[in-house]
Amino acid sequence: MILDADSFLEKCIYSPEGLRADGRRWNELRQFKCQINTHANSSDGSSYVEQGYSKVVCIVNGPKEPDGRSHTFLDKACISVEVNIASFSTVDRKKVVRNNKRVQELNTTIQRTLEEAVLSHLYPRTQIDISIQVLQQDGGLLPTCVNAATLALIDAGIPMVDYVSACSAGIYDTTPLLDLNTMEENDLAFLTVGVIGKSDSLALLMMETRMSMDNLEPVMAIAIAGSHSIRDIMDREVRRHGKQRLAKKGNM
Amino acid sequence: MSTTVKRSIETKSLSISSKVFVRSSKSGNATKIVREQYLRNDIPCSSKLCLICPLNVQADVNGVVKPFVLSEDPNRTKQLGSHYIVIDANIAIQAIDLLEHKATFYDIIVPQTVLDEVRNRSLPIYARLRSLVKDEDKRYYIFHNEFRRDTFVQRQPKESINDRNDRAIRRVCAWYKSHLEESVSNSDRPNLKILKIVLITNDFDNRTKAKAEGITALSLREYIGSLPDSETLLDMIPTEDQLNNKRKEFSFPEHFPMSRLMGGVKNKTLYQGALNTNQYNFLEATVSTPAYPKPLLILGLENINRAFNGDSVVVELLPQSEWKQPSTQIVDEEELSKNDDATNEISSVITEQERKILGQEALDAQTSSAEFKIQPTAKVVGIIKRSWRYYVGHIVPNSTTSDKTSSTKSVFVQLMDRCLPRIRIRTRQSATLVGKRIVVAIDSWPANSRYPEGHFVRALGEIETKEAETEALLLEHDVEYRPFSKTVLDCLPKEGHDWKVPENLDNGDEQLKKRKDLRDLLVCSIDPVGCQDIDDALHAKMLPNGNHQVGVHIADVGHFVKANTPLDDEGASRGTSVYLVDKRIDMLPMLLGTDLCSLKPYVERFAFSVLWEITPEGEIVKTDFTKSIIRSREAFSYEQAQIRIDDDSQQDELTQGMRVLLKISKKLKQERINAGALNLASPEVKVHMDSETSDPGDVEIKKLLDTNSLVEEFMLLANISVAKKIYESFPQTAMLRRHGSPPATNFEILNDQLRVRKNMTVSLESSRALADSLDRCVDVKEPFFNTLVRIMATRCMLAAEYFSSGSYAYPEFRHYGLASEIYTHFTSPIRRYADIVAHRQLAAAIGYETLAQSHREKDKMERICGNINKRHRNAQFAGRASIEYYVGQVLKASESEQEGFVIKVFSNGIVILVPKFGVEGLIHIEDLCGDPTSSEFDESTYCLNFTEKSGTKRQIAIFDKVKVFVKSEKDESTGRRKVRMSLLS
Amino acid sequence: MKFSPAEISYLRNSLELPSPIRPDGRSSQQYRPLEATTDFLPTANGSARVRTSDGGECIVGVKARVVKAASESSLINIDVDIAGVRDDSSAVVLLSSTLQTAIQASLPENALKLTDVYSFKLFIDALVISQPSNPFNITSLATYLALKSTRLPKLVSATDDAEAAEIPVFDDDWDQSTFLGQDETRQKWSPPIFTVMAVVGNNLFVDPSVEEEFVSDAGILAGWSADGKVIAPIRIIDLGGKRNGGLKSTLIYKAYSLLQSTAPDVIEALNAIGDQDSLSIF
Repeated sequence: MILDADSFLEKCIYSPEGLRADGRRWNELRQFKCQINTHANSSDGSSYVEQGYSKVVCIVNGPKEPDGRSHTFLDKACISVEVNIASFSTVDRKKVVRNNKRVQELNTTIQRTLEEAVLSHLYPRTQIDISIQVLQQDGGLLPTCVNAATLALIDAGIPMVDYVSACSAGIYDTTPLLDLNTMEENDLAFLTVGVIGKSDSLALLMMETRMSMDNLEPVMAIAIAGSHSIRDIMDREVRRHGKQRLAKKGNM
Repeated sequence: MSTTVKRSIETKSLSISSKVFVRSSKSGNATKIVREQYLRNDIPCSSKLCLICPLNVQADVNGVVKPFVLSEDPNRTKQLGSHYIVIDANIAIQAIDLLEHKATFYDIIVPQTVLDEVRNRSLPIYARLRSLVKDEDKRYYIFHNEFRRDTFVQRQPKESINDRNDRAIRRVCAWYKSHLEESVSNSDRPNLKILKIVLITNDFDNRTKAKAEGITALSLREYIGSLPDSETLLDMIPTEDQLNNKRKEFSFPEHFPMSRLMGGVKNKTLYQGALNTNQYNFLEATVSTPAYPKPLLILGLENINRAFNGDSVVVELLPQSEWKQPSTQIVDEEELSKNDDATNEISSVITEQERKILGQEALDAQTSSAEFKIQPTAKVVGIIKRSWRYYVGHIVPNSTTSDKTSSTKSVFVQLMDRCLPRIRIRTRQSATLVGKRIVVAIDSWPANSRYPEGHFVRALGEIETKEAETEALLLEHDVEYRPFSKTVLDCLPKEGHDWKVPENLDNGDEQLKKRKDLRDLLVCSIDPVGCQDIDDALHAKMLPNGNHQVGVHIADVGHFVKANTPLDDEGASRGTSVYLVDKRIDMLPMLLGTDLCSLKPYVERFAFSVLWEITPEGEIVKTDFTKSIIRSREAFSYEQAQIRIDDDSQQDELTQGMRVLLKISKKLKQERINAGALNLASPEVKVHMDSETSDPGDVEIKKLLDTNSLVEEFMLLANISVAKKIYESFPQTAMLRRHGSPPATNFEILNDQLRVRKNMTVSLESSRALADSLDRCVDVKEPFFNTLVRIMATRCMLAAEYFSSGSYAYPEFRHYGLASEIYTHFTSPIRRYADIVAHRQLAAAIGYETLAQSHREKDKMERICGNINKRHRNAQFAGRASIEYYVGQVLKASESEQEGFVIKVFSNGIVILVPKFGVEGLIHIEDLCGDPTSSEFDESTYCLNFTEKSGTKRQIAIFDKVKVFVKSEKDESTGRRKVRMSLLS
Repeated sequence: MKFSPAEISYLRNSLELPSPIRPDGRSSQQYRPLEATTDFLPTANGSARVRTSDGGECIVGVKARVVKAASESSLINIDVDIAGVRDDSSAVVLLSSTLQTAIQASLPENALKLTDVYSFKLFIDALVISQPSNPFNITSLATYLALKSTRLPKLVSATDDAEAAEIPVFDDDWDQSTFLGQDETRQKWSPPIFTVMAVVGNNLFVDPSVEEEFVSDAGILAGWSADGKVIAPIRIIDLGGKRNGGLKSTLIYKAYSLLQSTAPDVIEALNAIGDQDSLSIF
């Protein structure tokens, strides 16, 4: 008669049968949908990314005349990132002001991540504006933003070393879980990685919860593997769009 | 570990659906919730007959594929043939006892739909269902139908969620049927029989629909009726609703709907709290709410309104005109309801007797001069959470007719817990169950029934047999006493009793290298006689600089019990070993507790050592912690150790060491007392058992020797040292133990009693002041008086508790009783789980190993602490109840005249403590004097004046020493053996 | 955007003609093609996205929260966020306050009422992602569509809670929820829409493009309620044109009749979009 009910409550995150609350297994991504060139009329590059119920629009303008001295570098382009989180993006409506510390940090993190891959030295004294609209959040805010930004930069024709693809992973007891949704993020220790191309080099590693060293390795490994898969999906979209463009050109 | 990623978008085995629903929050908000749901094809049916699913199953992280559960040769009955069973949520919730029954219910498919519903409705039953699934013998399988594409059903427009779930369950039945048929028809084993899938549900509608869809569906009663040994099982079927409708014996006020309760609590017009029934008066209860400094009074059956002791309830205040003071009376449920017949209807709403008592109290409240004692009263308007569990009791003999037929009858069950009402159950076996201890479960308490309805679970044995009573008290205190399961035992070292400390310490094991070899130290252990689970051992050694090296070595349980193993889970849920008079319920399997971990003499053992350098004056120069290997030279009992120390002819090094330890321990103790440590007494009684018949022989108060305090002092020191260390390393999650200073209100009554009767007070300014003032409470004529005050003071104190260091601010860490700033439990890992956690945290703090995630997350630690606090309390209660039972048995054989002290005075009785046996007894006013109405109770002086039967006037006041005749007596109507005292002049 | 004097003069002249020629060939009462999607944010009570052919885009999400009606100054809260524009700029303030007043005025009295104490409060958040021309049009249209797609959970607990406090409890089935402002007893409610018209000389043009705005004398903003009335506020707004000297009063009547002839068509077109079941925006 062991009725310590509380300890069972959390078990719904990952059942003894090896299924998560949404029916995925430990190593499965959520549905990843993406599209580029969604805002052809209003921007140089644009994209739309869905990771499960996280939905993000990204618009890139540039390289262009910088906004002033503070945005001018003599040796490279200035990448400026502005994430705007819609008040209706969370389950309970929450107004997020633009200069909110969390958002500022998110901006900087994404900017640093992209700087690892964008060949910004090709465009000295210019500015590349990346504006990200978060329409809906269900975990993985940072990776979704990074993936959307990568796609929009590609759409804008800005040269990069390779894709930067990002994905989160967490740990439940000793089982690593890939691509967490909000419910899982709230309960688990997790990290986010951003990977350059199909390599192991990380453009981004973010961990804001505590995780023991023993768990770090398997969690990183699955997160990197997840990022690689996302890269493939994004690559397919870019090629699909490229083909479509070529076909149009051929018709003209 | 392989790191493969499945991409949902690519592998076409997954498709997506979404769940959309509205969640009403406690604050009244309505939120639209949308969740993704991935549907898949790789969820197996888990039948050993199936040839399709094995090709399709997925391994877990470690590449392990779960074995299939459902048998090739399952349940078989005459009518149904071989079959698998599918159950619905109501069956799981109402008949979990039956599902757990060893005789029947094998090969059960529990659809996920059912599991989720059970979890939402009752976590304890969910936990039991989960452990059934773990039990390999029972062959329960959780089928995740909601995640399988061909069994998932979408809610239809206007369909209620219940109807949708019922449809999902029927879909499971249909799927299994066709799936197994397909599988069998594809097989090359022609002799495979086609299995039936049987849906068990008590929902008539669901059964009808199932039958229309070609699914075999039975009610629980029908199914059990088809089993060979149905007679006894039928009793375990929960009472069904239609039975209640006929009865109109009583009408409780209806509870408010949940929305109203939540609204009221939020608005602060209603109050929520746990109901606490008065131990001496079951018609009176209190509810502590955050809104008031003192608990609210709930008086009378109707106001308590079907709440049980311990339920979480919502109450509404009564008008001020109905406020009263707490009663000064003793009311026993059994006395009042003795004559109720379980089947007859009772017309009056409140019985005459209840009314009389209530009326008298109302009068008291009005005539009482002390107006400040009037307390606000309230009534229960809703029950948020039931504390219902299994209850042990017996059938009230006069509630059943004497005919011996096996027709179903309603009978009353009187529970052992006196704070609870009797339960009505329906049974065919009333004739055979009378006179037995039985376990019952409660199903419901409808508003039109005076008593809660329940059903029989099982019989423990004849009342007053040792086995039945022991099991009863373990059940009553929620102590897990069943043998360890196979999965738990599988975690033990394969070598079993032959496990040894490796001979070669340099065998490449990195952790072994970190252990200090302390085998050359002269270590010994000192414990009670016959102790097998030796947690601790000590040594003292002279250092060249004149200081002493003192070491406390604790069994290294952490080495054998690794975090997050089934063994660890079991230990964590048991929380502590439970010591009964003649029995020990282990927290860890015997192999560890009494052998591999136990620091037995003459063998090498792993230990966790705390080493101090202490000056001869008792000052600590240095503290070290290390995992070690030791070899105890001797296991002493307290007496043996004392004799050896006192014997001047013993001059060997070991004895010298013990003398040093004793000397230092005395200094440590003095320091502690100077700091304000309390010496609180409770009469610790030991029951001597006849070694042959193991019948209790005699009762004796435990003696304390110097060596007891020697061990105690060093254990305290070790605990404090470890507490400091783990708090330093894990400031948020260190496992610590605190003892809050008692609030002054707790001592109000005792202080008033002392002031009025003895002109003494106890001071609460500090623990030092309390200790000193307790020392001053001395009655020259009565040496026991001081102990008596200490016993009563102890009851005013708060209980010490485990906590995770992040839960309190540092000043709140204080252990009041020990007068230590910080404290933990480290020294008894074999019998307490808290110590195991402390061991792991200390091991991590000294860099021996990494710490499990569960011990460094605040909320997980809080959960662990909550559980072990509860287990610890239950263990203490169980231990006391066991002593009480045996004292009763001893007294059965020997009635005698004893000295006693009055510790409580009521208007209609007194409570007397007999130190010799450590028992308390109640004497009713009727037994004190011939005419109860002539008695007078003076509340302000705690005096009861009455005329004895012989005609002499007598006054009894609190603290009075009296002579009583003590015997034990079995109350035939309640089956309870009670200590019966009568006052002698 | 910058124009050469020749361009300006050409634009101005062709728009001033008695039968004006718009640069994109539209008639003066014709909207540019719109692309709209509704109900694409599953976690919101209602949502819509409107895009214009010149790249303007507005996304509106509506969320409902249960509040105590007595403690709220308004049961409608509109928040407009225009990318690259400060929250306190006059354009944003005008936009949100106009919509707020008009929606509040048009909403049936008890549309948000739950019980004697509790009520829903609507949070309408508009996000203008890009806006080459005046954002009023798209924001108003997107808000219209979002409100039309807004559904509110169904209350199952008692409604008379003035005496005994009760926390509202709702049907967990989202399918039982009702569209805002619609139940058996009531007419179908539709939110008001707003139209911006550019004034060039004696002519008026609905849904002006950037070029038209640039050469305009001023703009006229007017609302249209679903029951076929022109509603307040009717006001003159600055569209960025550089002219001054005021407007002829007759233009207001002209605007009035222009609205009457275009608005019903616009609403009809919007309702056609709203009736579609769409869940993805791309």
